[in-house]
Amino acid sequence: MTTLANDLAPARPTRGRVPLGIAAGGGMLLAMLAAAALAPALVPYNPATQNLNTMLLPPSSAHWFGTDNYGRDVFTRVLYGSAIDLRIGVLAVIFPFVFGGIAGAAAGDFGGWVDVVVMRTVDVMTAVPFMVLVIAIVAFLGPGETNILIAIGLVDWIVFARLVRGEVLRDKNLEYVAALRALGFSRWRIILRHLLPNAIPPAVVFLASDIVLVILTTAALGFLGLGVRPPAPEWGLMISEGRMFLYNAWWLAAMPGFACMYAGIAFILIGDGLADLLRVRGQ
Amino acid sequence: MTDLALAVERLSVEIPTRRGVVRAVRDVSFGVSPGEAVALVGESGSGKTMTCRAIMRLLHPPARITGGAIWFQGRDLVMLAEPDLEQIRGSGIAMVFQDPMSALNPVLTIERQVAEALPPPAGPRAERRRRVVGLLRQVGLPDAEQRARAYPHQLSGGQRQRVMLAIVLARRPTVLLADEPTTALDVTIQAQILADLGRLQQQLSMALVLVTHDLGVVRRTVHRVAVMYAGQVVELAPTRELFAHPRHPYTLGLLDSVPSVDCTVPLMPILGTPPDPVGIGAGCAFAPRCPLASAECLRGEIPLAAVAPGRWSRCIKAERVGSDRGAAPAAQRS
Repeated sequence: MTTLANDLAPARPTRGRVPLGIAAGGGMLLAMLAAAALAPALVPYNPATQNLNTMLLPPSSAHWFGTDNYGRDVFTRVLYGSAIDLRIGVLAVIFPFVFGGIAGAAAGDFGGWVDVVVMRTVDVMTAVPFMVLVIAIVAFLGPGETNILIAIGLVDWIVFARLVRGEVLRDKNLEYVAALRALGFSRWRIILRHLLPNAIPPAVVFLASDIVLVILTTAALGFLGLGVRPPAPEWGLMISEGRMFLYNAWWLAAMPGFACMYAGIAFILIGDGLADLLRVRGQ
Repeated sequence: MTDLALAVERLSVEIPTRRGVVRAVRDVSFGVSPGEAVALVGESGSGKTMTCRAIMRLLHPPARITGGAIWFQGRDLVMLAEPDLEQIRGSGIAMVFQDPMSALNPVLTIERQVAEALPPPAGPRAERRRRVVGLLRQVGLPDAEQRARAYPHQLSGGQRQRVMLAIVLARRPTVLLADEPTTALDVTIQAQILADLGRLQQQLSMALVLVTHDLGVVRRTVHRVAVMYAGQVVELAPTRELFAHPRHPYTLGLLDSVPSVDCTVPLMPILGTPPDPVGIGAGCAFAPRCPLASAECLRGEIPLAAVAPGRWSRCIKAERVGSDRGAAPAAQRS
């Protein structure tokens, strides 16, 4: 029986194969980042320079995404804006991901009062809508990029905590955890090296869509005047500024919206690919 | 007592449940010397696994130790705090689990999992890999170099149990608890793994506690046997003497219910069922099923008493057990 199984299934993990999602999403994102970095060389316009002679021009070969009510080239502004939005999106989720993951894993594995403290905190914060809480914190701290990062960090970790806790709860009573403890490994070592890595795939997948959520939150804050200040070419700010011209100059709001969507698709593809990569085959 | 590698003394484990307190392990005492193999034998639910988990101090709550001591290297494990226990687990006392299917982390390669158990210093990667492959060879895993790169789901049950053994042996434990290491495997593999386990135990002169309900295994592998029933050790004896002259009616019943190879002797099941673990009363737990039972068997707790040098029995009629062997089965059959 054993030899037959050996012949049929050579024990060789797949290696060196990058999932399609990571390749596609990563490609899209790299293209965007490269364009943002090379923007001064790629486009002849400046994102902040106003030109009253070219106000509200529709998309053309000279202005691919048209111009806004101050005559600024929308394509140029979207390109420069991608640097701001991607930076906030990525930076804002780092702390929630790490802290939420560890807090959730600790709550799941230790149980008892650790679980009570972490999860009741999560419950209280869940009871208040995400946006309202972020707005309240930013209003308290004052507008600006750093304060947006702080506000999102304080609120967003609860999602990861709940996600990881669920995974850990499922895993911690499996025999392999007992076997690891029987080897003399400490609780934290098992959490950090075994439970957390096994609980991470869903959190990583969510991370990708969370970045999109953060970008939209940033945009919403900009819309409310609590985010990045004008004239910075932040996508959300551009959308909110363009909403006044939706009837006669749709491109003002639509083009940064498309940019948002493009980034969102890229991140979600990456998340999907990561999930494939992290999952064990044929379990 | 001092030369024992591990001594369990009057250990009790209780599990509070809605129906009442389950006394899963009651007053269990036994010891293992270095290089000795002792078997814990008994049917399902007799407290064998609970005893092992209690020794590792890895009971799942709400199960907890309510009495007794576990002596290891001059220290009572029952009294130790978690950090001290972590020092002892693995390198002092190690445990092989019942089901190799679930006892390995599914998402790490075999090599990573064995390497993680290697005592430091781990050394460079190539050195670590050499030690891992060496260990896998030692436990008899075929094609060790290839297998090291595999994931648990790519191995058969027997191969996984060998990997578990390699992981456990990487720590060089002085005492090894093997909790039914072969029940999840098919019969031919069982025999091989047990033979290898016996060989390794001799080679590394470990003290081995083998939990099993397979008496054939016991006869071939271990020096002494502790028979458990309803959470108690009912008989403790050297293997050969236990098989020749059991001194507890339950042991006798167990031996009679093992089929012989040529099927000439009819199977003798033990009549009745094990007692409800909630609210076991005073007296002998086996009495309701025992052919020798009388009123005095239910009068008070019966101690595990020495019936001969090195032989212990929890039966007040120990000297009568088996004296009517041959007659008793006939009586029961009619």
